[in-house]
Amino acid sequence: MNKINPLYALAFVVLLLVFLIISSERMQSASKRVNSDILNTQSVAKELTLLKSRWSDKKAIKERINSILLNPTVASQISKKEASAKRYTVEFKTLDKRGFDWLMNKVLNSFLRIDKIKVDRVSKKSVYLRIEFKL
Amino acid sequence: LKISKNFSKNSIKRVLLDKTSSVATHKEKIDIILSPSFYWMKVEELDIKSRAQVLKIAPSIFEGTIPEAEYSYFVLKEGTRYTIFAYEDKKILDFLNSHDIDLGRVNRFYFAQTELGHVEHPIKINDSISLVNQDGLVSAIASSYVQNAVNFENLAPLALSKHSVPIKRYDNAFLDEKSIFALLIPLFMLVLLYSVDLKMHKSVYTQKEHQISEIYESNNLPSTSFEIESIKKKLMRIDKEQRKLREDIKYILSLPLGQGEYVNSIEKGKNDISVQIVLGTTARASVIKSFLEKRFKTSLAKFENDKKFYIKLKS
Repeated sequence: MNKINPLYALAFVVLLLVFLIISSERMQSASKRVNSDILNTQSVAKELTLLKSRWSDKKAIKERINSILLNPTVASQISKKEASAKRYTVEFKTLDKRGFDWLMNKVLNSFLRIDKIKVDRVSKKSVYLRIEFKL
Repeated sequence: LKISKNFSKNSIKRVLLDKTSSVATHKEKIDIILSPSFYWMKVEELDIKSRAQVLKIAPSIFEGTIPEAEYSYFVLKEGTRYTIFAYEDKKILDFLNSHDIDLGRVNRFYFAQTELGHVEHPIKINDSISLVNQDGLVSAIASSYVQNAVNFENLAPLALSKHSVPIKRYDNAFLDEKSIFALLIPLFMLVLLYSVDLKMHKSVYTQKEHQISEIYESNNLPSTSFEIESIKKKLMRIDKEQRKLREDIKYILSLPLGQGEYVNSIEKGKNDISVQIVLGTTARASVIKSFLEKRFKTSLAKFENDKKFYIKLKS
């Protein structure tokens, strides 16, 4: 007496199947979107990490400056060195030609944020140099 | 013609239905007792143990004795004595439809044989048909042959048996029951497959979402793309500025200086670069200036004395 009409069961199963197919298709395309999201996120993360390490990692920038200034070619010629939370200033009252060439080569080829730079020729063989780095 | 009604203890109306009945529309639940006009019946002594086996051979028991039609069968067992009923679901349902009886309100169907077999006196269905009990067999005969028939509704409330009749309440014009079940099986398999498929895709999706979160965490990325873009833009601007500064210095240091000429000072301020150059002659200043103007705008150019040429550059 209380049997379920097989047509209703058929309709239910068909509807369920349609629902599952649509859901599965949606989930598949969502997965594809997430794949491209992963690639995008990885690429953005890589790019951002690289840019950060170059220009906003204060500790790393400070280490890079120190490693340059500790080099014997210029270390003994430093007249003044000042570091605050935001700036790192170095001054050479007289820096010989070799030291200047070496230092400029290093500074210009490193990821250091030069804020100000002043070079004055003192003599044929030496210059005055003041560089302010932003941290 | 009147409908014959009776009541159960729980107030479900009992309706005795005959093909000659003119039935009133019912809004309440009803139990229907089918008169013999709706079924064929045979009583057989069979050496068979179960009802199910008798049900299988029921079509052959009636073969040739009743008109050809699509029958359903119902079997009652008393020892080795089987009462076998043949009835047409469609005809019963068509009758109900044609008499405006809402099938949804029908609680159960019964055969008169099982429900009225114990009633000894004749039961009047209407002026033309009555039911009589002849040696336990309920049959319908013309009311004119019956005396002292009692109206069905005047009978004491009947205690209905447990032998309700399974009427197929559907009529599938395009697909019979077997075809539907045959279709249901592969469809059900597909449902299972797609359920598994969906679950797998969901799990893959969740894993990938998790992977994105991990990338965010391990790279210390801000939670919104707006923040990420803003930081990236700022760092890109710094990168561009610093690369440009290096190119500017390189350009200045590549000035086409003559014998005895040199750059006396370079000072990079916030927005400009001042350069002081010692030149051989004042005429050389225009050469130097035009070289620098290929890359910079000059905001100031002057001689500080005969030889020192001062120039202020803006990118």
